[in-house]
Amino acid sequence: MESLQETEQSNSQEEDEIILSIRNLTIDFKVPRGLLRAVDKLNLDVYKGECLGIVGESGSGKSVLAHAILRLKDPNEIIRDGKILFEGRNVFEFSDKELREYRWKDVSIVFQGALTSLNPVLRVISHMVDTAEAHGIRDKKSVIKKATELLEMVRLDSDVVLRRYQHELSGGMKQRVVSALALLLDPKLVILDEPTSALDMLTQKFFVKILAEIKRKKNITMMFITHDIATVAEIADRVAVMYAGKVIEVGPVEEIFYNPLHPYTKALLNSIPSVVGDVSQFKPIPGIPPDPVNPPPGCRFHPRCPFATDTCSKVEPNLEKIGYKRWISCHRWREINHV
Amino acid sequence: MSEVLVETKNLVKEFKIRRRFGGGDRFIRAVDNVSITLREGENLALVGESGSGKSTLGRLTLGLLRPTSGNVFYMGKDIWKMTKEEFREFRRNAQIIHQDPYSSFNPVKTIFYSLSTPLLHHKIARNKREAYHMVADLLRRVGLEPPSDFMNRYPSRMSGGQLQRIAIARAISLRPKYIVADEAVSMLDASLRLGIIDLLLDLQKEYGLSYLFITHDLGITRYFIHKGGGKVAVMYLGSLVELGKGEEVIRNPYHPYTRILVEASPIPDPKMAKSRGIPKLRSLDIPSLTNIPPGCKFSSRCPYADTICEKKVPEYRKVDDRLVACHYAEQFKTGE
Repeated sequence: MESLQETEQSNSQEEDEIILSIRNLTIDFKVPRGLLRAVDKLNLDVYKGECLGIVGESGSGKSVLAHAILRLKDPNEIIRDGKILFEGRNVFEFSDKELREYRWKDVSIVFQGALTSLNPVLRVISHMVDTAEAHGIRDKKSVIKKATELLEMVRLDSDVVLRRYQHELSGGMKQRVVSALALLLDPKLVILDEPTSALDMLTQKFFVKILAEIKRKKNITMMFITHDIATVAEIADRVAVMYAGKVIEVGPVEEIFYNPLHPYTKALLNSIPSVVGDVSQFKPIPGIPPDPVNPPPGCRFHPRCPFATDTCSKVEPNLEKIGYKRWISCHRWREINHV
Repeated sequence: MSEVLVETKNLVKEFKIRRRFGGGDRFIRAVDNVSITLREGENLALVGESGSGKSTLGRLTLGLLRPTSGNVFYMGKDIWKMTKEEFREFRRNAQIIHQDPYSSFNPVKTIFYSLSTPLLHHKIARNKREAYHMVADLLRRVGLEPPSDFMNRYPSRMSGGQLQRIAIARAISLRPKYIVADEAVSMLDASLRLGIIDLLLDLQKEYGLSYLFITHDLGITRYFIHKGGGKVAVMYLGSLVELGKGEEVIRNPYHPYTRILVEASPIPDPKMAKSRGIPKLRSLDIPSLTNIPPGCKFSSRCPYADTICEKKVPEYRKVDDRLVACHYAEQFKTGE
């Protein structure tokens, strides 16, 4: 069995350019009960031009990961180990100046609470101009031209919206304004942290379609973080499934949906009823998500896994490369899937 | 046919909103002339976007809000004309499960306290010892074992899924006949949602409960109705736009709004999902309740609307075995 690190070198030329590479990332949080392991020896690569969907339930560490990529540190957060390489440079070693350049220009983020991300006393236009100015762009005219272009791209009437305050915009409009703002400096990577969770059904659908369109037109790299695996089907090229702070399966979107290999991915897909398909096949995953302060030993999913053996409860599985941009972390994936 | 348990007739609820800079008060109509019927042991799934009035309707049927006009009947009696004693009995029989389990428990009281108080208050348990056994039974019934592990815990020490089970235990503790489940699974992790629905439906079989199951998620609605049976009602800006038997409403919507909701529901299938276009809507944003379009409320967004829709309020009428509020339901259902 090869581990990720071992295969990494041999396959370096096989695949497209890696823009972001996360190695062995381990993050703890100080909580009253002790230490909470939010991200646990996590390995993940993001390729240039792709939309990587990151799916996980609450507490799986997906938002902590997003914040770590931008080095947005919580006071109670302790980075134990690992590195995050953006175009080969370690983000944790950036100077303050480098970090300022990196944020927004290289990587920007749309937060989960985007509906409250805008300053209530500034018009949309000021958000745009101020953001550019903070990054040394003083040419107001070109910024407004760019902002207009981006707002049109997210299907907003720029003449009207630019002059508005945030309370004059609906939730869906705010979310689109914030996204346009995130794209203002042409970042290489945009991280979207639960961008649709606070939106209504119809707005959600529309927003995801617009994102897909922008991605296609501008060829930017995206990380789309969500708890809703169905939304990812619509936009992602590749999907990483997280469980208890780890990536447990990664692969091209069609592989993950049509041929999931990890028992958790399989169970997750079966637990989400949709408006199509055979409704009798949907069933809940038994048990409860692991307590991050006291995670189970061995494979984190073993207490809920129908295929768990003694080994699973004792030995932690590695994230193993098994194909083109495809990884899995399960002792028994071969037997279970009759490979 | 079983007896009618809960019924609303032409129910209207208006809320007063104050203008910030004078100019008098305005009213918004959160629930607009809604009539529904729920029989004993039956389910009604209520679907709609946020602001559609589905939660307000739920609260009206529980007597938690007083209607502006119209009536709520419980077992044939108008709940606002009941004697004090009758109303108390009604409130024991009608319970609610809220969306957010974390804010539905007192954070400084133990689980035992939260579950035993209603039992003692309604004199179902005569003393604490009896209450202890009852609470233990309830916890076992909702799948929390061993009960002694949970009795003395505080809500902050429990997961969302466990707390929602406790909320269910509390709702059934007084042996009610009617439960409003208001987005009861929306805040839970995907892997736990179906487990909670299964629990609700098991309890229904055991106690003969009736559910008003409020949700915005059509996939969840489908699962609930498939397993538990019942009707689906779709609400838009305070009005019912479609009501019909179970999965049929989702499989073959008669109202354009229902169809758009179905089309906008995420599908866990990349090929199918990517091939679907942007929902055909004239306007994406749901109109404010202070500024409802004249005529059909959906006309400002409906891709099929014409001048009649913009002027004339559609009648809520019977088409086949369904109730639909659309001028063109007949043409629409056959795809014309």
